Amino acid sequence: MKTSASRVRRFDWNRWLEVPVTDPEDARRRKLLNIVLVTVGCLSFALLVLALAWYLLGIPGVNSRELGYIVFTVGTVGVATGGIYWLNHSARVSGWIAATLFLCLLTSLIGLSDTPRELAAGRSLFVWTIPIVLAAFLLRPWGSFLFTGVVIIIMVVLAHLAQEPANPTAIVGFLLLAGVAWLSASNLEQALREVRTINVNLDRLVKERTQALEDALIREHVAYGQLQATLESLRDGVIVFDRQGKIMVANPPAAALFEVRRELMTTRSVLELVGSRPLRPQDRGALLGLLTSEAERPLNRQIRWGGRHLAVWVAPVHSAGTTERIGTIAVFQDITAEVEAARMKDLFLAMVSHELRTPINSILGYTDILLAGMRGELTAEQTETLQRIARNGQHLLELVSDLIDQAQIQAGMVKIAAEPFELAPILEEVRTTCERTAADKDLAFVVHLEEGVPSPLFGDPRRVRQIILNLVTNAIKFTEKGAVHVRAFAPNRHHWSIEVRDTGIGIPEEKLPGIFDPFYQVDSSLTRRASGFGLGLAIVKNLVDLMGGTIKVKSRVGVGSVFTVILPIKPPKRQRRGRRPEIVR
Amino acid sequence: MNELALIIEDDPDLADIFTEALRAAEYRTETIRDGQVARQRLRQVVPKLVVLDMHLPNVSGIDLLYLLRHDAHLRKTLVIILTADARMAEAYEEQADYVLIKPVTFTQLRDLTSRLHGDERSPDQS
Repeated sequence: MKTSASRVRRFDWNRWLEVPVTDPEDARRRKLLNIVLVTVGCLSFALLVLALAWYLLGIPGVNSRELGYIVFTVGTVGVATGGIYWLNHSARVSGWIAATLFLCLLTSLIGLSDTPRELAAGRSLFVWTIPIVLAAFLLRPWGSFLFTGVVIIIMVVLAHLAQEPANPTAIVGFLLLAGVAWLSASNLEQALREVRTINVNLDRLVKERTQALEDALIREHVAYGQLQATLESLRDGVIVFDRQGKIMVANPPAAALFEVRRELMTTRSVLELVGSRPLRPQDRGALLGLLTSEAERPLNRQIRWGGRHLAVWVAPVHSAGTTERIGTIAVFQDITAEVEAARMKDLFLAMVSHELRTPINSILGYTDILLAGMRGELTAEQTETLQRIARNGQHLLELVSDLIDQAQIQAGMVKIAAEPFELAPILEEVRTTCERTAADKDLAFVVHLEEGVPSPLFGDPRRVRQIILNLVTNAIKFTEKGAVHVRAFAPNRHHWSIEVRDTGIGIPEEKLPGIFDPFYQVDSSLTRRASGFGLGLAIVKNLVDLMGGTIKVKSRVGVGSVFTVILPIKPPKRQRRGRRPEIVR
Repeated sequence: MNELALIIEDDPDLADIFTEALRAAEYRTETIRDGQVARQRLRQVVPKLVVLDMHLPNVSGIDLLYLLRHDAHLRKTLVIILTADARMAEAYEEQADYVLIKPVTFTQLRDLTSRLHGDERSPDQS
């Protein structure tokens, strides 16, 4: 930036030389003319001063008459120059006027600068080149030809005056020179025009591009603003990170979760952050597995996070419009409340069901007392009526017990024993319990313990009995004719298995997947009478899971079903106390 | 003379049913509904067997069980504890002679106790 001091020193030439006209060609020519005029003016002035000095100093060669002559000439030239300059400077006056005037002045000066003889054919021939060349640049490119014509005429006249023959070589030379000058000037003007066009185009292009950039920037700004607003307003933590785990976006809840300042989140790696959290090993492992997964479909897990339960969802992020994966988005959802509520519900259910059992027991007890004849002898009818009451009471008790069982398992209150036991007595017990009912329905009922099942087994005999009893009573319930086979065998060295096969009504294929869900009933008029809550299989599955085993079912409608339970011979070291169910949205 | 069975149960209906069950099993019965009263009574009589509900209000069934096991007078008394809690059952299995998981039916108690008439509890049995 120029300081005021340097501004004073540097003379602003442009103000004196440039003429404000719209046509750039015209402006260029006028400026060129101004330069020439100024030069001429300065030279004239210098000459004047010189002559004056010469005279005043008394140097021979310049007397007063010659001085006067010089002053007159130079003065005229100077004044003319000034006038032409003034004309040129006025934008209202066409440029060619001043140019033409100057060129004429110049030609006249040249014509008077030497003797006609010298000018036409002698030493001063060369001076005629000046107006010819200048014309091309000051007037128009073809101006050189114009002034060549003028010069030729003057030359011929002068030659005639000097009684010399005109110099044809000079004429040809001048014409050639005019041609060269014309070419130069034309090319210059052409080149300048092209440059100007390019400039104009460039300017337009730059303007367009800048506008487009501005628009894009605004759009991005708006989009970013929307994204920010959305992220800020979410209750769940959201983190987007790239393939190396570096965090690209994180919202306030996510930052709070990791106890890192929001601004610092984008400097961290999500894997490093997880690694440094105080998590249980299984939770950390599960979370890291989730975050580093390259799976293309969304995944989710539930983990414990300090005192909270979180549901973590991950999904891939792709570059706009392509299948190229650029990172992952992870959502952390606090489900502590839901988990707590579910647990409360189960606890409540377990407690309430327990309360329900007490009066039922009393009913059964008193019925037993009556049936035992302890309140007097009974008639056959009375006995039968009491037996019905007892049966229904028993049924009610079973329903409530099922409810309690299921609720307790859900609430994680069930502990599976791990003790040695014999399978044979359990199978025998099941047989005696169920053979009456099977016989009543005219079903063949076979219970078989195969060779190869080790003795003793390890686990919870009470629960094993519950499982087998449940499956067998189901089989009998849903079979109207044929047989129920119970088979205990060892499929391999580490497991033993119970298979309950029936020739009952079977289970439709579409119902099979949900068969172990709580409260699931295969809807059929046949089963309506005798059914319970439909908890039997759910409880069985839960127990089998708690024991570290698996249960499978195969079934064909109208043919029958096979339920197979496979349990480890040696149960896993740590008995699980009951699984929290997955909360599926 | 029939042997004495002491029933310690606070719920009136259950107390009634258990009493009938033991009567049906040919015992002489005394039914006590309160733990404190039971404690006092146990100083006065030596029952052949005691049916003890572990879930008594006011007095802990555990304390009564301890008393039954460590009092010299009562060392020959058979103890049947009743509990709804499987964990408790497991924990006190050693101290009681029999553990019945509630709900306990009339027939269950009657059949069990009628078999115990001749049984003696040997002092070192624990």
